[in-house]
Amino acid sequence: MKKTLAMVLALAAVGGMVSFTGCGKEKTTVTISGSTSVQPLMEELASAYEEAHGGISIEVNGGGSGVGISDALLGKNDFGMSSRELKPTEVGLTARRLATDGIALVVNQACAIDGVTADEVYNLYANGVPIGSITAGIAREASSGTRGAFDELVKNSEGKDLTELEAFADGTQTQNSTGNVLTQIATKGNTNLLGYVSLGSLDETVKALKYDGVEPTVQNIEAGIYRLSRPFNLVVKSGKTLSREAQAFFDYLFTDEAQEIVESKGYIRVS
Amino acid sequence: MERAKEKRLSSARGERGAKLLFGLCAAFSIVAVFAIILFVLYRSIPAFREIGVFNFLFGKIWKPDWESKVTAGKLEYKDIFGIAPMIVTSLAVTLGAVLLGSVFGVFTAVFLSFYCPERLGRAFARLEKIPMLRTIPLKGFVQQIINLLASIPSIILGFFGLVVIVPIIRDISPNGLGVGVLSAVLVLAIMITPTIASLSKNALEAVPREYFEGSLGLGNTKNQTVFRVMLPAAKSGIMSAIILGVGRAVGETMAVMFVIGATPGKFPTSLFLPVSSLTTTIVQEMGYVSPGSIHESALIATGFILLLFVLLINLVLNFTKKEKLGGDTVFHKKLSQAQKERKGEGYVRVYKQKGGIQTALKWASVAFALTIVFTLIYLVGFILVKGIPYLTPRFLFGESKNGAPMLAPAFVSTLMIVFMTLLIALPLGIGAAIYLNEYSKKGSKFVKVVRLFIDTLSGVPSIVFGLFGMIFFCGICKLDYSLFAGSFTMVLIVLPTVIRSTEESLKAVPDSMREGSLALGSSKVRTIFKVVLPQAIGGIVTSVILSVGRIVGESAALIYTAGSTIKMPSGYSGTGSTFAVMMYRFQVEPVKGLGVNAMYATAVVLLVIVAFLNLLVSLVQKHAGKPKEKTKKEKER
Repeated sequence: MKKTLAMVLALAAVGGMVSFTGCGKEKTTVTISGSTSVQPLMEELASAYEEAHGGISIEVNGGGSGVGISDALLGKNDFGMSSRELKPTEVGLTARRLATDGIALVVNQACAIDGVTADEVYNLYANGVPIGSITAGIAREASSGTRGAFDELVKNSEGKDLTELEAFADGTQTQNSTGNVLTQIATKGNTNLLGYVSLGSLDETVKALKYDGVEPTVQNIEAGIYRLSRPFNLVVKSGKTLSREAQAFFDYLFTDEAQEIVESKGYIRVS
Repeated sequence: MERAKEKRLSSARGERGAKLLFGLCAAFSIVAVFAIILFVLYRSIPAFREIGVFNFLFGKIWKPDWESKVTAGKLEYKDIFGIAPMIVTSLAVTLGAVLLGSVFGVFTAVFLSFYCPERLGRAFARLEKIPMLRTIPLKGFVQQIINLLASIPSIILGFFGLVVIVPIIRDISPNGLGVGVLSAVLVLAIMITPTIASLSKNALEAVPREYFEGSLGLGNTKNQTVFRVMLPAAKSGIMSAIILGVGRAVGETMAVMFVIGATPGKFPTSLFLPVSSLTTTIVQEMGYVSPGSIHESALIATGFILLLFVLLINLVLNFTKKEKLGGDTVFHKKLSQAQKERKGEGYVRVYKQKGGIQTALKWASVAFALTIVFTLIYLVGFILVKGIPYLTPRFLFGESKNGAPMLAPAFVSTLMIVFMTLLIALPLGIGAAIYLNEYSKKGSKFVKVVRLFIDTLSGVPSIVFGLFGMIFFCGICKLDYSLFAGSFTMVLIVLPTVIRSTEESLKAVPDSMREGSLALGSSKVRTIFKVVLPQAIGGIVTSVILSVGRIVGESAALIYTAGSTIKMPSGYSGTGSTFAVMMYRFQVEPVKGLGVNAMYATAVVLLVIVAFLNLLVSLVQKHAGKPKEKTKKEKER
């Protein structure tokens, strides 16, 4: 019996140590969660801030726009990230625009196509009408901010957008992140797929298409001629006082220094 | 005198208290199962009420992003949340996987039980001359391979499917897609084959040796004996193995998510169509829901429907298990019936021909077993070759920062979850096992019910555990995403393993030891702790290792309870990611500059841990298991 007792005590002691080591050296943490489209930008901003301000740790979690919004409402984060505007159902929150982002249509580097029209994109996703070698589109999961914006912005010649569809055309696959869309498109020989990603996440592994004859560039979005764009918002519960550290970081995000990072990463700055 | 009496009384009270305590441990499984059903149902009710159960089950459209249109008054909820295509997909994919998996699994079991030579030298006469190769234990090797395949985390199988199987399917598919029904079927088949194989092997080996010898004695060939006598005699055991496979396949999330295409609202009308199953829809959309929305409730309700399927499968399994004993007697009956019909002739050889079909079946079993072995070797080799170059010390132990995640936090989080889970699950599980084995009377109703619930608990899909943990530990207990919530959820997952493994080893302790101890005047509790448990240490250690394996490989249940951060956990009330969750995170948010290679590297770490744990299990069983088996056999004699 003594042995068992000793063992239990030893276990409890170790357990106590494990749970307290964490508390001992705890840094001040700012927690941010939400859109996976905003996340790469926020991570850049956070590490720049962390380097400049020692002793502060900024935790950037993904989850999606919905999570960012719900966490903000429930007080699970300091503030949330969303890549879409708030829905009418999402009350009690304030959104502030951090940046504007374009949505780029992407294909495999080996794909012969250079540009598509809105009608072609609509028909591919709605009816499975091929565009040259492209036979299927990649969608994002329901309620992804990027998908929401894309479905609203792509309209056919009759003015119908993709949100009206009951279901996408057969063959449309769904990927649950920007990164996965890029991986799928970039895979060798996948010249039959079309996908869409945040402009800031665009890299050289894929080819960006002209949309209605316009290149997806920061200049074209600022000029308002590239039509696939949406906001990157920060979401705070209305009336909530942020912690000192969180407020400092929040303010930092709208300084010139931070907005220059926004610009350098391929997004459109707000101030 | 008075004092002694008092002491006896108080010790009797202590005995009763101990029995009650162990009984409570045993009853915990019942509470857990009911809690899971009730809380998941409770959070499903808003969806059922708004959508209507009929519309939910038979509706064909799944358009959660239309929810704002409902608020605008244009639509009703019943028009946008229908899971009929997902139910059909889950069933179709499961059917396909189980058909394939049981063919592979059963034939592999036959190969292992009857045709696999003990040593490599026996397989080929030519090899007999090479002493190095001759002594390689072939049977043990194949068995190890199957065990290893069974313990590979499902997220690795899904990833393997994505990088190996999908490209192959893409080449043969008419629409050039790759992801879709067929890929999902293949990945699931690989996942359930080892389970079906090892359980079928157990069933085959449980058939009395006399059947085998008797059949040979009657002049049947070995192949005829194996396929016409042994296999039918093990029928019920093999059936329960297959049903267990059905349960695993229908509830699998991660392995399917990577390869199925995940497009909701599509019936699986073609093998190459991207579709979405019940589990994939939950895991894809759960992260995006607004709290308290009907979408959230509809996803939980989807989990509830899945849970109902699994409970049903479990009941069927329980039913076939009861038949098990009867099954063999039925076989006996058939034999004696045949004897009667042929009056005096006895049971004579009925298969006159040389048994060409059976010979073909033999070679089929060899081929299927070899396919399994090569699949695993290819899988492991592929991941090692692709992953090791990226397994730099920096990636393993460097500081994990925003934009540059490293694996160091995964070591800490995994250890912390393992520790907390075992701290709770071990006493609970061992207590339950003690009650089941030491205190229960034969045929006790309570024990039967407890066993049923332990089996049920072990069949619950991990995504449902995740939903429950999210609702109960994170929500109702206000733990939020934390290592506490993750560990508590893992307790429920590993508990059946701990109970079963401990109970097995308790059973192996001979009764004479208990009687001896009691006769020397020790109390029952003292006997259990001083005599029985030390003997059963092998089983307890095994259960610890198996639990660690489960925790290391788990992802679906942890994402919604412990979160998926890349940062070092700040304590048990902070979030943290284990290796498998890290891998999921790398899939959802590929690392800049590493991309898919971060997943390969994490998969290597996971594989190494799993292989190491497997090795540990077989070592423990070799050292702690053998003497007991001997004593058991001696007892039987």
